[in-house]
Amino acid sequence: MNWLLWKDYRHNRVVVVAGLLLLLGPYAMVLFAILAGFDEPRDGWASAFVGAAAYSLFMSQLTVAVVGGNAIAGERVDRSAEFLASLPITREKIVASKLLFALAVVAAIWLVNTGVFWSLRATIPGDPDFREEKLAKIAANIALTGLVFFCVGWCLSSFLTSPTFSVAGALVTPLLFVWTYMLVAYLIGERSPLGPRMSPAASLFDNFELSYRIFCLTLAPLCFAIGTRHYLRRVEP
Amino acid sequence: MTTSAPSGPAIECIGLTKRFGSTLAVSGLSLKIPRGCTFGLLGPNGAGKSTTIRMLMGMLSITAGRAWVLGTNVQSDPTQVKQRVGYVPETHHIYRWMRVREVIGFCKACFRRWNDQTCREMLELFGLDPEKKVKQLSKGTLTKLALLVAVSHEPEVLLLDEPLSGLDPIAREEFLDGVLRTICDRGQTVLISSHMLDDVRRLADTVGILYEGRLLLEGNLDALLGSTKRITATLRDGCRPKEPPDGTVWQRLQGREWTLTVRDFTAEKFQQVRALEGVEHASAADLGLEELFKDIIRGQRAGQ
Repeated sequence: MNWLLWKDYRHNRVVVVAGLLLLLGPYAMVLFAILAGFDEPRDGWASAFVGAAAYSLFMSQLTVAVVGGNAIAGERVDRSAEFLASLPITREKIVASKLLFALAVVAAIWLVNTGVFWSLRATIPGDPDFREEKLAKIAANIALTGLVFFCVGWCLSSFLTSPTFSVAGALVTPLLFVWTYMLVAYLIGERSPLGPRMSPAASLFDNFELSYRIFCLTLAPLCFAIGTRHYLRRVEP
Repeated sequence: MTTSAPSGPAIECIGLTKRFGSTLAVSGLSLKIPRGCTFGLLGPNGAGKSTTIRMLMGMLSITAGRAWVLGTNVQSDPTQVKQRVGYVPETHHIYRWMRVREVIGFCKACFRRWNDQTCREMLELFGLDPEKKVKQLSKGTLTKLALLVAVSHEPEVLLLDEPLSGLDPIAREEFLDGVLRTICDRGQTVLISSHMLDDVRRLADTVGILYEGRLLLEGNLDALLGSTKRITATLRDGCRPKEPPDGTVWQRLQGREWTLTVRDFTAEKFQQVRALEGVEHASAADLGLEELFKDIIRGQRAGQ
């Protein structure tokens, strides 16, 4: 298993390096601003670091999408999957190793950013209760987006040979939801050209956040289950 | 049939079929390769040799039929098959970023058995640099690395899919005499697919000829060559060839010369040709593997 994990890390080394840039880049920019003698922001440098953490957390979800989309298709595109398939390794072990690697990437992203949030939360202006509730909400939405990125990427990666399409598909999925949501909300909303409140489901669309969460929590496990099942049952690499 | 006695066949297929969309790559292949046999699977490009080997390795789904390697069903337990089989593919897809020593370490971790001494000996024999990256290796060196991996876990069966393609003549000689000969003499079961007939002639004791996914013939190579002859008959002016004898796999008329390749050749069959009306003179000659192969394939293409 250690060799498989090492292989997954080495195979994704470029992704890891790019992910590190996305993860640490925002912090490096704040550090650069401090060292270069830029004017301190109104809320202090600590709030700049909190902003960097939010930005880093959000941008790092791209890394999660790439890890998911590259997981299986990445070895198909260079045909190294055929070499792996010629070795006596069970599909379950291969899946476990890929998931462990992805988990390590996700853990690193969340540990760094939530660590910064947690240690600097007191410096964020505003009512502490409201502030922490708001932060938790943002973090939850980012986590759900990351989950959709990974699971859709994983699922597409299991079916496709191209990691590019898998990653693109993963990134587009939340956008498709937003566009669909906006269209439906427009069509059944009060200002709809079809007439106001045509459906009882319209109330659901009043709450975008809730709809988005339901969408994420339904789609992500479904995609993960379909992708994993397909890969485990498939004979070909 | 999930297990078999050690005396059972090393490889057994019954009605093995593979379809890619509308293309039938392998059609109802039934084959039994005994343990310790060196079997040459011959066929022109696209005959289904690689597809057959990939199905036997459990790397390709089977459309119909069944296959067992060392008594293990390749569909139900491909991992067990891979533990006991060494595989050298035609094209190598080893991780290009790995170093030779990393490839060895990675493969060693995957197999239950690994003979470090064999591995070291082959590393030395092939002159492989452990620190070199796979992407820096030539096709020949990559084949050597693939063979090293395939042999070091002491497999009971070796599946070699065109292992010599892409090698220059000197590397091929090195391989044939120094490596494959040794492997074949170890008593392991070897299935080697190739369209390089001379190489197969030097290694295999049994051959099978595959054409458009069908196994045209199978048998001991010497017996096959001994029982197949080419009859050349000279016809009298204006005469046309009559009905050829049974077992004719290919025939050709060029001017007055009528050439026939006859399987299960007997003196009676030869007499039958000589006695045909219009035959002035006839002679029979032995065939080499290459001529036999070519005639069988040509006969198939001509629908004979």
